[in-house]
Amino acid sequence: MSSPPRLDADPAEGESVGGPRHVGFWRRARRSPSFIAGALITGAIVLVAILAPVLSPDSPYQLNLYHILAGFSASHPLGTDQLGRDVLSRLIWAARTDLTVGVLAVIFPFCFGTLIGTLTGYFGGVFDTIVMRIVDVVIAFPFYVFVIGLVFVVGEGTKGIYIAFAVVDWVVYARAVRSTTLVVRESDYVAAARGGGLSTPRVLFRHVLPNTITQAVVYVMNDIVLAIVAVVTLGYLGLGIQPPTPDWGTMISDGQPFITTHWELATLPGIAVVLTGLGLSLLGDGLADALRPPS
Amino acid sequence: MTHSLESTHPIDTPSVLQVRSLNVSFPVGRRRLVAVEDVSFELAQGESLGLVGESGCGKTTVARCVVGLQRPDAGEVSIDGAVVALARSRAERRAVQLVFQDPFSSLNPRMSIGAMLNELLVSHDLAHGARAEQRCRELLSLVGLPADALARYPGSFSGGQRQRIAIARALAVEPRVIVADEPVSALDVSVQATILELFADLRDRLGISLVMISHNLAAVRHVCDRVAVMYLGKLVEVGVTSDVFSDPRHPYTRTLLNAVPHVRRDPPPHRVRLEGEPPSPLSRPTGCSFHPRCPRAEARCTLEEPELLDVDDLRGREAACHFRDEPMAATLTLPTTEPRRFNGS
Amino acid sequence: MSGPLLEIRDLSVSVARGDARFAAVDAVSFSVRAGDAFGIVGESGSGKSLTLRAIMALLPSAARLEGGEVLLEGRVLSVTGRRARVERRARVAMVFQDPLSALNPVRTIGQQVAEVPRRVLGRSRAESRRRTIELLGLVGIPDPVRRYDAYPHQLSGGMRQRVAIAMALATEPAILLCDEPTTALDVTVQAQVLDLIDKLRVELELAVVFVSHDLGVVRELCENVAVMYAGRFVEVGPTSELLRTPRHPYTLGLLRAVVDLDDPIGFLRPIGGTLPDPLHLPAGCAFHPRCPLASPECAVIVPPLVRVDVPHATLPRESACLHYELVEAP
Repeated sequence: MSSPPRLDADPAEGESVGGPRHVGFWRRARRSPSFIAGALITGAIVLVAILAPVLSPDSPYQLNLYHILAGFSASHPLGTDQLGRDVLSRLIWAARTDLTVGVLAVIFPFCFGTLIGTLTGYFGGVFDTIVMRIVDVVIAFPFYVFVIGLVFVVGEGTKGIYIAFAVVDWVVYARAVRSTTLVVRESDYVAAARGGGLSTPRVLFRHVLPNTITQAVVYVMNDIVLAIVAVVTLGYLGLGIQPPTPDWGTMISDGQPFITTHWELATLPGIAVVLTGLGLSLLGDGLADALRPPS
Repeated sequence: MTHSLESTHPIDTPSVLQVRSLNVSFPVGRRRLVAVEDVSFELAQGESLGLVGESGCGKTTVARCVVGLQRPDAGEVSIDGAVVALARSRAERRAVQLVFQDPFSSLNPRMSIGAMLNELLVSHDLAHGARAEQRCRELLSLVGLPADALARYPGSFSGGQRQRIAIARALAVEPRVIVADEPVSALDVSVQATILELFADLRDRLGISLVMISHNLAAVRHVCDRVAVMYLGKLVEVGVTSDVFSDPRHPYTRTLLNAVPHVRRDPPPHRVRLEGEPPSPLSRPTGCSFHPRCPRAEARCTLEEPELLDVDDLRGREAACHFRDEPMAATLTLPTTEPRRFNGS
Repeated sequence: MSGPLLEIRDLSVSVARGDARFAAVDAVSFSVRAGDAFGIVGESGSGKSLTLRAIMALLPSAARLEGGEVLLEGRVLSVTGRRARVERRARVAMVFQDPLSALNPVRTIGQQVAEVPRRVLGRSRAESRRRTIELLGLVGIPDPVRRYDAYPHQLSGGMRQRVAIAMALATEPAILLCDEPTTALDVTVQAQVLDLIDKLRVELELAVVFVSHDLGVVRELCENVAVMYAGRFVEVGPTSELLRTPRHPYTLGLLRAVVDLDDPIGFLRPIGGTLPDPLHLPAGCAFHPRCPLASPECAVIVPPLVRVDVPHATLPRESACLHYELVEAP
């Protein structure tokens, strides 16, 4: 028999150390360097995307065939591309495009995967076995091969990405949530909730899920990065977002032939992707710190 | 049921809890580990029963069966005379509540105290809205906590306070029986007393019926009217607590009592000591399962398993020993400890 | 050997928490002779475990020795670094609370115990094995030759603790430090292990320092005891006298707050208030906010641990209380 470690004595009656409800999350977030750095970077990029119409000096679609491949200048701080479009404007508008697709692509996998993970983890049984075998198969599948194949079926553009993510990406959430659910399911407070006569959906949503979802939430940040990279990659391959819609991926592939003379055309969008990825990863890290239970 | 356990209460009140022939086993590899074997007991309204024993004796498993968190292989649990089915209804779940051992894992860390209590009240239609909040405050004051605890989360409370919260949670659904599984063993010594006092207080004031699982005999003595001692899944002695502790009729009870260190007086010079370790439940000894370690064992004990039967001249006492009618003091001889020797003495 | 085997003088340890440091052990002094058992009793946060670890030079990284000396047979020991380990080797050994985490789960118990004579004392493989079997028998493990090849998970808690004790004894120490070794054990097993430690104390003339939160256990085993509160010794003296006539309000409080088997029902009187936060200790006597005898001086003066007289007492007693003579009987 092992006894848990000894704990300190009771404060006297009447003593209280009260505080607001969410003192836990924000205080921890404020003290986490990753969270602050991640929030700043990501926030800046999101702000840029939202304020694109305001911040962008020119229209990203405006062609100017008399001023193609101009270098850095006062009127075009980051130059123009091979069709005379302002690079800065295109970068800003591409942020909007890519971020939107990145976020939208992960919504279904997050929700569906978390739900499946919770149900299989909590109930187990045959359902669990079947689903886990499906998960094993899906995980083994090479993602980009699948996406490219899908794109040939449904056509180019964001549709393929959304479908591909929906079919493939949920399994990671399912596995992560399932394993934490298996642990939480055995905890005393869940037993107390069941023993208290609470209905199963209530036990799942109020007692199990809040304690298992943290991993999934943190992973979502990294998943958005992956989604953006996927969009960018497909764009680079010409299979993603179609011109003239600005997108970092197509900008990189468009700029590739000019890499020796006008490096900025391919490199700057690349830097944008890296920066976005960095911001989201740091934010994810910071969230992992901040999402611990309040105390 | 071959025998009935008399309660100590003079008024013939019906039992609030009846456990009959409980049997629980778990698969271990290809074999089965018998955790609980043929355990039966009753609890009268307003009574408190202590279930004591060491690790592996099955007391926690019995508690989980009573609360409905464990399915027994055989046997039944009745509340107010009605047998509860294996899959309990919500009303049945309400009737028996469990207070867990570890106050650090028995409260949902992401739920405020108020939300937790409120959820139970609303869910069982006991109170709503303002009345519910009022009730939450009442519950907290019953366990000695201030009302501002409602807005806080478990993480901001000490172990003793969390245990009070757990008790408040158990009381919230107005149960018929509360089962407390080692409620103070995870707490600091000076805090244990406060929680035991709370149990005693609730017993006296509210007349709650309590089953307290503990390895701490002194705690049981403080709170429980009657005590049931378990060894390797079986009941070996049952009776009024103070009587059992002053005149045990099973050798295991006697050695258990001898092993408890005394604070307020010096240890007696010679005490009966238990040899060896409890055998694994996977390989139970023949006859009486205690016989390999028993200071009183005779040949008969290796062949015939003693039943839990009434002791002749003691009312309300049962013991599972062939020599239950002999007062212990007269019979035990070895092995004993030697008096402590120090350099100065 | 007439003088003390182990002497601790003014040992102080600080611990970091966040950006702040606080005194977790504050000028603790005591001595133990060969063949004697000294108990240190206190609740969580009293500093008792850190005291042992400081003696053993095993402080966790957040803790730092701030002052004091550890003397072995009159010689001062180093307190940190390789030198400290070498000086304690084969002189001081420690037994911890949780036997399961003290033993390596992937090696047999025989291998683990034998490793000590082999590596630490430089004995041969055969000699180490022989010594191990001897030690396992000494600590009461039945059939030690067969058990040599058992893994920790195959043994019960009590057996594992015996193995841990055997490992500690394998260095042939003169001093055995015990940090709550029986807390995690069943009461009958605890009794056996306490009997074992006592037997070893007598047979091997060990100096034993036994830390516990359990007054009863300390009373069983230790001739002298120190009661610790907020990092300091508040009362020191012979165990049975101290527990019969305490001379510090905290000691009295503890005696009245613990549940004992022979108590009349309704006896419990918990100590009011709460254990102080070590970062914000009360001014003056750390116990004064909870003390029924507290007077205005108690909030200002930190009472020193001094010799006090006790009616009908034969042996010296020390107490850190200004009003020691007012302490009632338990």
